[in-house]
Amino acid sequence: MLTTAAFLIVMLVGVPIGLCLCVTAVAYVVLSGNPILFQSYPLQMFNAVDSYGLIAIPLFILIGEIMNAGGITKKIVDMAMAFVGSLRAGLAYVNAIANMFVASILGSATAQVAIMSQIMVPEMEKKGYDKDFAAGLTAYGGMLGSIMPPSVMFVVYSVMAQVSVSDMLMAGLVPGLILTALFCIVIAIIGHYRQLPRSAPQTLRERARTVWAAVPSLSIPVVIVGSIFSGFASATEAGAVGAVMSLVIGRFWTKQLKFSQLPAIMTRAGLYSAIVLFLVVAAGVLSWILVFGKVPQEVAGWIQTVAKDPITFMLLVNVILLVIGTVIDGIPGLIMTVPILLPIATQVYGIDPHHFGVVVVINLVLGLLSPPVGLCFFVAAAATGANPGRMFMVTIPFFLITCVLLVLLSIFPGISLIFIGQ
Amino acid sequence: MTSSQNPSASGPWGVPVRISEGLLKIERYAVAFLITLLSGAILLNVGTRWIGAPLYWIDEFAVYCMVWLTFFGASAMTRLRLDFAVTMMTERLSASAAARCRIIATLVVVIFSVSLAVMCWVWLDPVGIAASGFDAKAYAGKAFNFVYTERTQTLNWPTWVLYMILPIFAVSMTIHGLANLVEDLGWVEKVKRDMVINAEEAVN
Repeated sequence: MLTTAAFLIVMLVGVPIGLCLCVTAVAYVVLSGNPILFQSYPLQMFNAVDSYGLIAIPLFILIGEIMNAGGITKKIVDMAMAFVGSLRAGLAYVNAIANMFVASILGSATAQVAIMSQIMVPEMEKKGYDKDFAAGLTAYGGMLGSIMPPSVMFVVYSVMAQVSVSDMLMAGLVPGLILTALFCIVIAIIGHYRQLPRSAPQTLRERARTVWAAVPSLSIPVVIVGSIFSGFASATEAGAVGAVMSLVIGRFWTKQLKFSQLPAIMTRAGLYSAIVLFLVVAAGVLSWILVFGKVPQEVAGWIQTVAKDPITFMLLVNVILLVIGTVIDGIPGLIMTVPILLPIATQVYGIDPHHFGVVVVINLVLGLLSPPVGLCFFVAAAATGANPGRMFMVTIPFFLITCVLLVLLSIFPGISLIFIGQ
Repeated sequence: MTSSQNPSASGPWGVPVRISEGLLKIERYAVAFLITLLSGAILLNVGTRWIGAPLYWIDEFAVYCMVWLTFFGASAMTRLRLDFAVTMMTERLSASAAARCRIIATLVVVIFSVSLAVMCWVWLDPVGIAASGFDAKAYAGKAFNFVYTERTQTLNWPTWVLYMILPIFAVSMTIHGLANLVEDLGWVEKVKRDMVINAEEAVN
């Protein structure tokens, strides 16, 4: 009780979340009268990040930084444009589909929203789309960045759940594809009712030229997803190869990247990686303390009085995480909830950890698109000048369809387990 | 992400700020170097595996690069105030109350980093190992602390060398925390930084 109070106080005064958890663990050790634990505290911090799977995180973040500087994203947007641009609401489809491809290169929803909203929103606005709708749709499309492989959140989860990083990444593939398809259905309905504009159709020659220009960029997701899927390389190795490919394509194909930018890119990628990895350190310390405090057992006792079967439990988890996700960002939300909920899911309800991870991550990412925090909306707003409040209102159909996907995923675990040999 | 020299940091209260800025520069180089090194190591692994002559120690090497990257970067981000924090309450407070909360939050960071330094002291027990004449086996037998006898699995490096990142982290975070504190208290003007993107907007 006192430990929880300490946690809430330090969190509310604005102590960074990673340190909040570390401080809470110190408070627990002091209050439990077990000072011997202090001796192994630093070792617990070290061991929390002493894991091969986590190396994928700096590499995925590095790919994002290189891509951002290399203008690779634009080529992918152009290619989607060549195929679906001339349909009614064509640019909205382009937005969703290009986001899906970019998501299979980038590992973070917010980074993807930052990049894609700069490209898509001005283009859509020019063609007569409402700016808030365009920015809101881009924010939802960016959500795929944390669901499709590679995904930083899935890597963090897989290390916490002690499952294979590659398996976990593949578990996000089918839900990501379904979500893109569901977004396209919503776009079709909205496009029909609002008579959203079409773009001029391209000739076959123009299409061929656009596709040719996009081929090297598209080879990045093919290599990343393909090598993880086929088992040819680990997620970490795929990340390293993807980073080199982005570098070569950005320098020699799109010619927007200069080698002189590399030191700054490396520093930024390193710092951003450290932010995620330090949260993993905090999660490690928290899990260690939770086990001592038998917290998962106590929470499990309470949950079992409410949820009698796995499906009710999963639906309850959806509600809890949606609420948590509205106030806490994705990765911090992950490290605060998984150490408590995962043991209950796997040990009490016999739920597959991969399946559980997919549901948890999608819930928390959806939290990035819900007020009051709604980080993805704020990122899109900062990049385009759209209004975050209105963005939420005009994208409610996308919110609802994502909730439908979550219910489907909760009831049918097979959707996320299809590619992981279960 | 460039920092500029701060004229008011020249007084006695500016000492932690000056040390912290120097440290930050080193940490940023270290972070860039380590991420390059670990990317190179993984690529080398892919290459050597491709030609059928994999280097068995490279995975372990890359992991330790990442561990050091984590703590160097975590220390730097304390100074850059780049971490995720819940701002729900502080955003709704008056400017003076929010400033007081910021001071408390920074103070918590300093107290934690000092505590971590103490924990590292107890754990690595430099006085104990010195008293045993730096004989790791004798010390382990006497203190039941095996930190100086353990070695890594494939590199066969003494693990205590790698663990040194934790006391380094504790000390550098304390310095950064003190620099933030004197700034928050208004004793020294805040160092201006030109941040292009917010960290939480880049990694979620």
